[in-house]
Formats: sequence, structure tokens, C-alpha cells
Amino acid sequence: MNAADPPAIRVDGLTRVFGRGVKSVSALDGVSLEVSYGEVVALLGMNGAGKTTLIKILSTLLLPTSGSAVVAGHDIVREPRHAREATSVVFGGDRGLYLRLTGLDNLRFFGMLAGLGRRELKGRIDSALERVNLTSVAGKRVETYSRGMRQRLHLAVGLLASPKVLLLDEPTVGLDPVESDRLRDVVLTMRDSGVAILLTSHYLLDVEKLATRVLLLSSGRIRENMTIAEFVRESGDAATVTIRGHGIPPDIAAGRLPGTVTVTCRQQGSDAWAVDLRLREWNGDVFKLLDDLFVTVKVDDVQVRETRLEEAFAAIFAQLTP
Amino acid sequence: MTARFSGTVGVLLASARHQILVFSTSWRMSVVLGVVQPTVLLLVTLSLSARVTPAYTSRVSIGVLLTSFWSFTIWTGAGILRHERSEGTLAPCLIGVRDFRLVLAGKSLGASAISALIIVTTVEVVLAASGRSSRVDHPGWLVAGLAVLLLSGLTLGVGLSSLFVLTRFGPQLSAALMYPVFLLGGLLTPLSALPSSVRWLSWGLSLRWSMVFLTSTTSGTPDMFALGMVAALTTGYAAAAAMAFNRFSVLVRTRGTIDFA
Repeated sequence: MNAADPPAIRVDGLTRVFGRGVKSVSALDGVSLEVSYGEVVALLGMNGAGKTTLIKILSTLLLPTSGSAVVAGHDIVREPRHAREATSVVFGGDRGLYLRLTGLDNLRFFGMLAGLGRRELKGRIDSALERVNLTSVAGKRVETYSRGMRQRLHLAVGLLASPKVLLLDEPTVGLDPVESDRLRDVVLTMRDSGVAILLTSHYLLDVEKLATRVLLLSSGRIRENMTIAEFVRESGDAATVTIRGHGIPPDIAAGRLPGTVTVTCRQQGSDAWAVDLRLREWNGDVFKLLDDLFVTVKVDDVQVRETRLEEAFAAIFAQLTP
Repeated sequence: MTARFSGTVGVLLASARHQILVFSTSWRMSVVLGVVQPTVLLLVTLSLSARVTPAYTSRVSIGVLLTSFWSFTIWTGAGILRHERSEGTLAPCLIGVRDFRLVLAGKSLGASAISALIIVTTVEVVLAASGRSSRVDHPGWLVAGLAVLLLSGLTLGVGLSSLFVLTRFGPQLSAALMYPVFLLGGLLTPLSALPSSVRWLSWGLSLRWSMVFLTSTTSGTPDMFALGMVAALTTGYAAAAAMAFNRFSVLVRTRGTIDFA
């Protein structure tokens, strides 16, 4: 794929209003976005921001009020069947599966729904089960599966049809760290094979590990469209350095600090202290400052923590919230 | 054309198989509607008559079969979409590549077929166990009549399912629909026992004509007018079911009433 290729997902001025008259609620308000093949774009937003509404529209489960959306070259309103042929949707959570049937029966049915014939279905099912590591329990009822296994079965359903576009709605909800990692690996493999992936998640670790770009949705509008690095930078800080020591605390008079650093000093007990240095960016001034401040005091511990996406998320949405 | 046909038939059969699997996991309903109900109805009805002839046994058996079949249709076939919705599987079904009308028809076919199989088996076993003999003069026409009945159940399942999923009161509507059809179809009591002012309503019920046709195959000459009425009404039901499904399909996409999971 190159830059001249049309995007896998193109959304233009998409609006969705629920209800009528004074009771109407605008869930999406002129949303425009693009996702290329081989790209993972994370759609972030608070509850009620419009993320699920957008995924529903792209999956053809919901009609837009106005605007257009094209998936793999097919308009989701005029050519919904073709759009569905190119798309897989992976839902999060416990539901959406036939719990009293086996994993295999679920895959057979959903594979048939995805348009696969009997002959190709078997091979695809075996491959999907293997990729999500569920082969050994495929013959057991889904109601006996753990939450993580159900989530992996959801992903196996999404893998059956070899989609060009994958819509992931909260894919790692309820998973333990090991299972989350395994699921992310599968998603990354799909990305590397050229699948376009639109991801919604409240787990920012998913975003950090999977996404190449972040879209911030607030009150039905795309407020920001940025890379992960830009997203973190938007929070205002690159990292926080916490230094703990005892005895006489360092002299942190404002005049000594470069403009890219803010400092807070905390007394911890009668003799101990802790200093938090919030760095807007890493540069030579920072190292010089650290040397100047702490060369004459007794330091017990130094911790450097990069700004987490949670902090970036909170900081950015604090700015967006009126 | 052949590939498309086999694809259509394949989807119907795969959906029917799937629904039978789903059905088999809720066996309590099957036992109540398919075993207990017809057994009790059959034994009570046959014990009420002083002189039970094979023809009478056949007529009663068909009435019991249709009564139980309608119960099954109203409680299982008509609840397919509602059940899918409560399980969270309706959204994946609706955004599948296959035409969901076909999938729903297959599911309804599966529900009708398994219910008919359970009821017919129960009736045969009860008759054999109680030492009653029945009479069937035209077994071929009887099978044809049952096949048309199956189609009728299929279309009713699709139509009612599409209507009931749009309301919170599906179970109540199911219960409310059961006995009027028993009475108007002449399944529990002879139609002649009904007031003439409401008797005309039975003309719109395929079960009434199924009762007439299937009974006629057990003794005498098969009533082809009744069979024609079953076929015509089933066609009408199919058209109404298609409209109900389209209405449901448009409403869920415009109102956004179906959640992913």
C-alpha cells in the first residue's frame, strides 16, 4: 500500500442524531476521519463520546443521519453487503456468543454468517482456533470458558473471514495481562499483514501497544487527531523524576529552574524529603539541573517515570471538557 | 444458478442445524411442550369418549399434534429474535454477509422441524403404549400436509419473531395469542361450537385448514380445497413475514435499538 491508495475507512461529515425534536441527542456531529491499510487507529473518548455509535455505523448496524462512510471502497449505506464482506467486528465482553453451544459450533455459525462455504470453513476455523490458542477447548461449551477465553473466541470469529478492515470494540476488557498480551500479538500480526484496524478501548495500554494514531472523540466530535508521541506530549509533560533523600533538602528556588521544568518538594517525616520534577522535555538543562540541585544533598532513591497515557488522556480531556 | 441455490439451501440448512443445537440446550421447554402437553391432551381426550374408533383416534391425534405445534411455534419460533437479542447475538447476525432473512428462515425451519418431530414421536409412542390404533388412508397426502404445515410454521415463526422483538411484551403477546388460535382453529373444540359471529375468523388460520386436510387424509378423500387454503394462507403469511422483517430491519438500523453485545 502507498500513500496514493484510497484509505480503508473514510468517514466524511458523519452525523447521527437519536430521537426527535427537543429530546433529540446528537451522538456524532460532523465526524471525519481516515484509516489506512496496515494502520491501527485508536478512538478514545469518555463514556457517551460517540465511539460505539461510530463503530455501529461502520459495521452497518446503524444508519447515519447524514454524512458518508466508505469501508474498503464501499459506501456503508448504499453497499452494506460489500462493506460487510470486507469488515470484521470484534466485540468486547461476555455476550454475543451462544454460551450453551461449543466454541466450534459458534465458529461454524458465525463463519457461515461471514459468507464462508463449508469447504473453506474447516480450514479457517482450525487456523483461527490455533491463532487464539483455543484448539484444545473448542469442543467445550462456551459457558464453561473463562472471560479471557470468550474474548479470544470473539477474536477468532473476527479472524475467520480474513477481513480488510477490523473494528475492535474494547477487545481486552476483563482479560488478565497474559491474555491481553496474547490478544494484542494477534492484532499486531493482522496489522502487519495490511489490515486496517479501528480500535476503541478504555485500556490505554492497548492504545500504547497497538495504535499508530489516536483520535480523540468528545461530545460527538473529533477533537484531536495525533500520533501516540504527540498525544503524550499534549499532556504537557514528558516524564516525572522523583528524588527521595534525607537531611537538608535541595535549594529549589524558582530562579534556578529552566522553563521546561516544574518542581514540587514534599517533606516526608522529620528528616526525609521527596522532590518531583515534572519535565516538559528531556534536554541538557535537565541533567545540569539535576547535577546542581542534588550534588550537595543526600539522595536515597531516584525514580524516572515516563508520562502514562492515562495521564495524557486525563489532561487532554480536562482541557476539552467545558 | 446451481451454486447460488446450493448456497441458499446451505445457509438454510446450516441455520436450521444451528437452531436445533440451540433448541437442544433448553430441553425443559421441549419436554413440556413436546412431550407432557401432547401426552396429557391425548390421554384425556381419548378417555372422554365411550367409543374410540381408529378414525376418531386419528382425528384426535391430529388435533393434539396441531395444538402442540402451535404452542411450540408461539413459544420458540416466535421468540427466536427475542432470544438472540437477549443473548447479545442479534447484532453479529444482522451485520453478517449472509442475508439475515434467509438465516432467520433457516432458524425458524429448524425450530418447526424439531418441534414437529418431537410431537409426532410423542403422539406415536403414546398411542402405541396405550394400545390405540389409528387409521391413515392416504399416508402420502398426510406427509404432504405435514410438510405444508411445517412451512406454515416457518413463516409464522419469522413473522411473529420480527414483530415480537420490537416490543417488550413479546411473552405476554405469545400467551395471549395461544388460546384464541386453539379455539378458532377448531383444535380443542369443534368449530360448530363457536358462535357464528366469530366463526368466520377461522378462515384466516392455516391451522384450521391443516386440521381439515390432515383429518381428511385419515379417512375418506383428501380435501384438496383445504390443502389449497393452507398453501394460500402460508403464502400470505410469508408476504406478511417479509414485511414484518423488513420493518424490523429498518427500525433497528434507524433507531439503533440493538447493542453489539
